[in-house]
Amino acid sequence: MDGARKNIRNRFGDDSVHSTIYTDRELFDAEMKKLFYDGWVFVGHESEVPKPNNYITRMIGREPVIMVRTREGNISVVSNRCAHRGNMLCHQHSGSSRSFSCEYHGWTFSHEGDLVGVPLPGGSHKDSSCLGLQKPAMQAEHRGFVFITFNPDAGPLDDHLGKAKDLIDRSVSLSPTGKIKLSAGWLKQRFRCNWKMLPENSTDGYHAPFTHASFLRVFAPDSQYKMLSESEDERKSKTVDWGNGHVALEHAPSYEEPLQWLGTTKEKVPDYVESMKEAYGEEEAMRKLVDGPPHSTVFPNLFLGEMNIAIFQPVSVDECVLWHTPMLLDGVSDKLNARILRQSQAAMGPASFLLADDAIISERQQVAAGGRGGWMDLSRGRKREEKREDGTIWGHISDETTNRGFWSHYREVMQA
Amino acid sequence: MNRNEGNSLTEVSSVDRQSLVDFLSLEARYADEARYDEWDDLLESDMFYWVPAGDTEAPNPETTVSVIADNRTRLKNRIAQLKTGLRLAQQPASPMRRQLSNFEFKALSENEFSVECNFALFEYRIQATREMTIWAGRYEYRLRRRGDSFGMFYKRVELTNASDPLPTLAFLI
Ligand code: FES
Ligand SMILES: [Fe+2]
Repeated sequence: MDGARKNIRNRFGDDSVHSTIYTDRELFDAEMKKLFYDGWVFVGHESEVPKPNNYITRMIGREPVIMVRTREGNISVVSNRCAHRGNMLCHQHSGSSRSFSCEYHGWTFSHEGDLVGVPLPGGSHKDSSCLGLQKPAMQAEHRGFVFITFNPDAGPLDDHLGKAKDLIDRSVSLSPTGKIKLSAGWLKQRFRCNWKMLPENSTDGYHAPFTHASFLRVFAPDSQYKMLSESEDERKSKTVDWGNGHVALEHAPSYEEPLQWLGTTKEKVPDYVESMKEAYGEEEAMRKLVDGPPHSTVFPNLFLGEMNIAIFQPVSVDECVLWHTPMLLDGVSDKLNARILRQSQAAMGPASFLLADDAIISERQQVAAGGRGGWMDLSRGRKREEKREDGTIWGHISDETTNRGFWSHYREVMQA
Repeated sequence: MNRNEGNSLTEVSSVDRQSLVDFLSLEARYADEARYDEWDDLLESDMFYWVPAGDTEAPNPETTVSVIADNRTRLKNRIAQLKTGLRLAQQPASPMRRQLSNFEFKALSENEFSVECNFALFEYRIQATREMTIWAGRYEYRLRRRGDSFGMFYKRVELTNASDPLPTLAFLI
């Protein structure tokens, strides 16, 4: 892998990245291995398979997988590729099935991936225990978020998540029961650009007043998004590099009142406020309701996008898909979840008021990177960012602290 | 309900059919040509504009995620955003043309009609990839008699590929 290492070194300067990082096919293949197969990646949330036999299908890099709730109620992840001659076992996005039966020659596998049935068994002489579906080397979850890695030496999930565990906790603790429900379905938006533009753009706090000028003009004056159009000195939100490539826009300092982030007030949703107080105590509940949800990338493919859960899915060097679903809360009224749904649709998705415009920028970036390319500057805010004792780095909301955090971890992993 | 009543409720006269098609051709032209104000003038105050996502078995704008689920206010804002001239996803507006066919008509009451038809829409993505994108699906409109024409109070767009990744869709589909 010496070539790959050199390959990476040449693409990083002092606070800069070379744009060929978006266009090199070999690099894309190396990312699939190093980031998506050898590292920890997000697969899905347990609420997506609420009952035994429920399954969903996902892509981990270019590897199709199935996440299923077994008959015993556990969650199992297996490769979505028949161990016989490689036919895709489940081709629906989701479904319910007592076992996985291949439509090519009829082999049947258990939820755990064991081969349990071969038709016309007279011709089989091999031990069926070595003919099971491939499985990740490790699987682990945090608050219902399921992660896998194909690398037995990846180390524990906890080490990879680090501070991102607190971010996940912060998301789910907006529910009085501490649980979320990803039950509203996923919307998938196709971007004709390199996948790394998704985590970059999602935590870029610099672009909003420009890329989203039309949005801010129409929607912002009396909404929670008002702060996006404030002047440099007025803006209180922060950029944060939490380490391990997990980065965030921290909007809590911009919020003065509870529930501002949801565009509502505590008077308008008294039941919700009451149940939060019961669950967490008055003070803690109020703090949660003022601060609101995180706006964070969990490296490399999960995005806790305020009241959205999103997945960054690479397709090829110049194509990717952004999945999103509203983060619905357990233990709250349907009315409150309907509000979350509407807010989610306004922000994310192909016809949304925000992401539709980000997509166009990414596609233009991809076209512009297609030739000889050039260096891209990421130095903004380096001089004024603050490194805290716990190792986290804090910058002004318009600073490139987040992008630097993403790239420095990327570089470390890719060079290893 | 006896058989005759059933028939009279759903039957639409050929005169009404023709004027409904005329109305929808105009609606399509305004949308194709990014004539947002004229398009907006065709709408009733209880307009609901819905493009369901295709991944859920029983899409419901209140409980499942939609590509678009706009009430009158949100649709007004959508159009206002387009009209700022700063909506990058439609800057410049996509040149496009759509064709409607296979019409089916139904009277919902004396003054309200439902029309369904198939569509094929050719969008030239001039703002970004400069590709021709083909959108296909089925429209369902609900229209109310307004003077000698109609006002639209419901439009549902069922995209054939709604369950898979969609490119940016910031125009009026
Ligand atoms: S490929 Fe699956 S049974 Fe043959
Ligand atoms: Fe953006």
